[in-house]
Order: sequence, then structure tokens, then C-alpha cells
Amino acid sequence: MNIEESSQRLISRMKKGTVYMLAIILILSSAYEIYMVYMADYEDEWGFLDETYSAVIKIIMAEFILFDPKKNVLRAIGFYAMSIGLSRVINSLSILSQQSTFSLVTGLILLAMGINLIYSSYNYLKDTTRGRNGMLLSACVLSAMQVITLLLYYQGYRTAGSVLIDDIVPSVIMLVQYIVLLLILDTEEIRYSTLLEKTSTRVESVTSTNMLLKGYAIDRADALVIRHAFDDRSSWSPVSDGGPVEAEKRIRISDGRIKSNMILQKWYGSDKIYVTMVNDDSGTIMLGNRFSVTQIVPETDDDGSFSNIRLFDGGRMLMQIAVSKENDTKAEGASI
Amino acid sequence: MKRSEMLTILLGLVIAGAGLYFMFRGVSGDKGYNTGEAVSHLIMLFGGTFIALLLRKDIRYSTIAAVLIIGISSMASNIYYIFFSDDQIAILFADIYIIFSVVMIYYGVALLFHTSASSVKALVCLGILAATEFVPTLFKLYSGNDFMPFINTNMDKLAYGIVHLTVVIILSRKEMLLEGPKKRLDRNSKALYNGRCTPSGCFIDVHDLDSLLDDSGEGWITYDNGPIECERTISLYETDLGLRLQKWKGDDRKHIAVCVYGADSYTIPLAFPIEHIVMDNEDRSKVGKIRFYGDEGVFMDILVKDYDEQPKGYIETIRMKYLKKE
Repeated sequence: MNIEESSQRLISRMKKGTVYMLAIILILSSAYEIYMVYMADYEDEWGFLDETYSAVIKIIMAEFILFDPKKNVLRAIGFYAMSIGLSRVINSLSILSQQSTFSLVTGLILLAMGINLIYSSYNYLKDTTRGRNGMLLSACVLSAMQVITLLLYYQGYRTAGSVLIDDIVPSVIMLVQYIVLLLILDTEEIRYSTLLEKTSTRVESVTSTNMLLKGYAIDRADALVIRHAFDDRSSWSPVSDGGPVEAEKRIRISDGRIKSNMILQKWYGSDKIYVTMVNDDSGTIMLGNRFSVTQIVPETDDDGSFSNIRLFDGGRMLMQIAVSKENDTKAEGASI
Repeated sequence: MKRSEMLTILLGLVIAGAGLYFMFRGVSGDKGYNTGEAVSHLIMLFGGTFIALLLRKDIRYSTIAAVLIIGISSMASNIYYIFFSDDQIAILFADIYIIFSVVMIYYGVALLFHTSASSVKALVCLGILAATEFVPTLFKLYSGNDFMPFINTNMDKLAYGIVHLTVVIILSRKEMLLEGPKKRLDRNSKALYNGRCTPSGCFIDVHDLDSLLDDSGEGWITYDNGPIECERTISLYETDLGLRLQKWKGDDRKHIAVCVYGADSYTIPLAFPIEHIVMDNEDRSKVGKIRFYGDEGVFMDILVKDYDEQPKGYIETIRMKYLKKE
């Protein structure tokens, strides 16, 4: 297993772990809220409803995360943010029920942030990250409000000399929930689903399908496969599916980051080599850059030293592919 | 009638209706009706009618007209208070309205002369105007005023707020929103991608295999004109593309064409007559991949999956169960 495969496996495990972590955080925080409901003596009806509904919503959303048939990080964040958004909206109604200017300001901020979280989370449930900035803003504002609350408790502790743990713990739990959301929103997975990243990926796919740019190169072993495509196809895979293809070979051209895939085919009854270039050759292959090759010319006749290879179709030159010097250098180093 | 045309007519009617309503309130009310307000309401009445009748087919110019009409009429109705009113609160609010009206007019003109591409900033100004009308009213209600008498005395402000909010809602619909560079980049890169590449995970439903292989199934459309005898479209999932299966007059082979699914206008980036079809399993219900061969090196690999068994979200699962029962 190479480094790329190992890192892919590790990332995949971490993604699965993130989904379960979000569900666990929701379950733990709702368990604490139920405990608070059980222990507290509420003076107003809203306070009781606030905690109870918040806990119920979080448990329901945690179940949605755990039993989601399309389980993935985006949808898990959607459910997670929706639970926080809904609980903030209920919380804001509870605060607005206390008629004062301070309650009005705090309640309206919470209401706006809660609605924004619900709206953004709905987009995440559709597997898009539209509204990531809005969600980041909400999570930042809500975190800041919790930090201010904790600082106020600290001021109270400095002046009064004591503070009730039951007052601090809900704020700490809330803060942890917001920070988890903020941290996950800043991960590669989420950033890669943003509009700009999606656009970049699409343009890169079009580029890698249709063009070879500066920096693209193939290994010498692959270069030799192309070089001898007309006289030695021993390394090619024979195709015996009853169709017109006699043998096929897939070669990857890369600049270290972006990859272009070249599918070479030898058809029965044809002297040409047919080439299909695609951005990904692992599943469905439909649209791509297709051309036939009648002549392949390396830079020099020495198989061990040519630095590029040229493909021709009749009297037309199609492309030049550079040969990577990396493996050559390694081989030289080994021989010394 | 197109949805965008309907929305534009609605936009014009809302603005014109509001102008007519405020004129009626001004003339019939006992608060007095100043020249600035009369001009403002006339602008709304004629401007709204102009949009509904003459600009209904042009989203861009109807948006610009709506922004300019609301901006100019809001300025006209509030400028009176700055010069002639003694009520400090009224002057303060008139200042706010005029500042945002000026900014809105600026964005309207910027759209007109192409120095701005997106209508979002103008809509934000309009939203702030609506909020300026709603928030103080709601705050007074929150502070304990009786609901009905208070609503009656603040009817005009609430009506303005509702009109501005309605205009924001109409202009922010997908069909009406003037796209900024980001949205255009997204749309064009998607179109470019769909014309040049295929996502490797896209697939056809296993239930569509019979159509592909035996010409069976519903949905074949017959053409009298042109070289194509009949064709049917097959969905490709997890992509915007679809397959057009065609039979040409005087040709025994089936032709396959790739194009954007469900579009009225499209180009075909790949089309060929099918010479061979190869599947990775003889049992059609177990096929995982199908390969179509054309001539001269053209081939196409397509994954085959059972759409019903693909993981779906909760709502989609419920919808599918409901549809199956139907």
C-alpha cells in the first residue's frame, strides 16, 4: 500500500468518525439539557419549553445522523446545524418573552442566527455547501455570545467570590457545540464543496481531458509502452469481450497534482492506435478527447535517455509528452 | 407564459397597486397629502404599469426599472420631511430612507450601464428599507402597544414594508435574479464540463437496459420530418447529461447521442451508430457496466446500477414509497 492509498483510507475513516462524533455531541448535550429540566424549578413556561424542545430536537437530529441512508459529512453537518439553529430559535423566543430592551436585542440576534443556521443547513442536506459563509458567521456570533456570557460569569465570580457551576456548564457545552461546527466548516471536505472549489475542479477536469500543460509528464516505463505501442504490446491487457478491441492499456499523465488518463486501444483490422483521454477512467467513460495515432516518435532512439515522445496522425502532429526525470534520477542514485 | 414573465407582471402590479393604494389613502385621508408624496405615488403607479405592460419579457430591464422606481419614489416621498417637517424622528427616518434610496438608485444605474452585474446589492438596500419600516413598528408592538389600534395608525408604514419585502422576494427568485460573476462562473464551468467530461460515478438505471438493448419501453417519439425515425431519452444519474437513443431511417443500427438531459436547446458532444454492445454479465439484472462500440476507435463505458437501491435521503425515500403506492 503506498502513501496515497494510506492517506485516502485514513481520511475516509476520519470522515466516518466525524459523522458519529457530531451525533454523540448532540446526544450528550441533549442528555445534559434533560438533566437540567429534571433538576430545575422553572418560574416561567418558556424556560421549561426551551430546554425540553431543544433536547428533543437534538436527539431527533442525532438519530437522523446515525440512521441516514446517505450518510456523509455534509449531511451530518446539515442535521447538526439544523438542531442548533432550531434550538437557538426556540431559545430566542424564550428570551424575547421577557420584555426588556436587552432581551429584545439578544433575542433578535439569536433568532437571526438560528434562522440563518436552519437555512444554511437545509442546503447542506442537499449535499451542497451553499451558505458556508453564513453558517460560519452564525457560529462565530453565537460563540462570541457564549464567550461574553462566560466572561460575565467570571466578573461575577471576581466580585461575589463564587459562581454556580450549573450556570457555567450550559454555556461551556453550547460553546463546544459551536466550536466543533466552526472547526468542521473549515475542513478540506467542506471547502472542496464550495462554489469556487467546484468550479476549479470542473475547469481542471476539462483541462486534463483536453490538454497537456507544462509540467505534465509520464514515467519512463509508461513512455516505453507508448513508444513500442506498434511493435510490442506485451504489457497491454488483452480484451476478449467479443467487441472490436484487441488490447487496451491505460496510462496516467500527471503534473504531480492534476492527473490526465490516457486509454490506448488496438482494434482488430486497424493499423492505428486509438487514444481516449479522460479526466477519470475508473467508472463511466463517455465524453473525452479522442484521436487516432499512426506514428510514435521518441526524441532519441535510445530507450533509456529520451526525454519526450511525440504522437502523429498521418501528416499531423498531435502532442508531445514529456518523460519524468524523477525515476531516472532515483535509478542513477541507486547505482552509485 | 414563462414563469419569469408572470413574476415580472406581478412585480409591476405590486408596485402600481401600491402607488394607487397610497394615492387613495393620501387623497381620502385627513393627515394631508404633500406634493412629494403625490409625485412618489404617481411614479409608482405609472412605473409599475410600465413594467407590467412593456418590460414583462425583459428580466434585466424590469429589475433595473423596479429598483429605480422604488428608489426615486422613496426619495420623492421623504425629501419633504427633511425641509418642512419639525418632527425630529420623522426627519431621522427620512434621512435613512433617502440614504438607502440614493445607494439603490446608484446600483440601478450601475446595472443599467453594466458597471455592476448582480442585483443582490440593490436588493440588500431594498431589504434595509423594508426593515427600517418594520423594526420600529414591531418594537413598539413589543413594548406593549395594543395591537389593532396601533396597526391602524401605522398602516402606511407596514404597507410600504410589505411592498418592499414583496419586491425583494419577487426579484430574488431564481428566474429573476441577475447573476453576479460567481454564479456565471458556476453556470458556465458546469456547461463546459458537461460538454467535455463525464463524472465517472454517473450511471443508468438497470431498468432502462431493456430500452437500450431491445427498443422496448415507453417514451419513443416518432418523427415524420428529417432523417431520424424515432428516439427516446434515457436518464443518466449523478450528472446533468442524458442519452438519446435514436433509430435513423434506412439504417438498421441504433444511434446513441450524449447531451444535456431535459434541455430545450442543446449541442451533442458525442454521437455514433452502435456497432457492438458488450456487458460484463450476461444476466441483465446483474450487469454492472455496459460498453458501446462505434467505429474508428469510439467507445463508451457506462455503469449500470439499480436506482431504487441507491442510498437516498429521508424525504426522497418517503417520496419514492408514496409514488410507488400511487
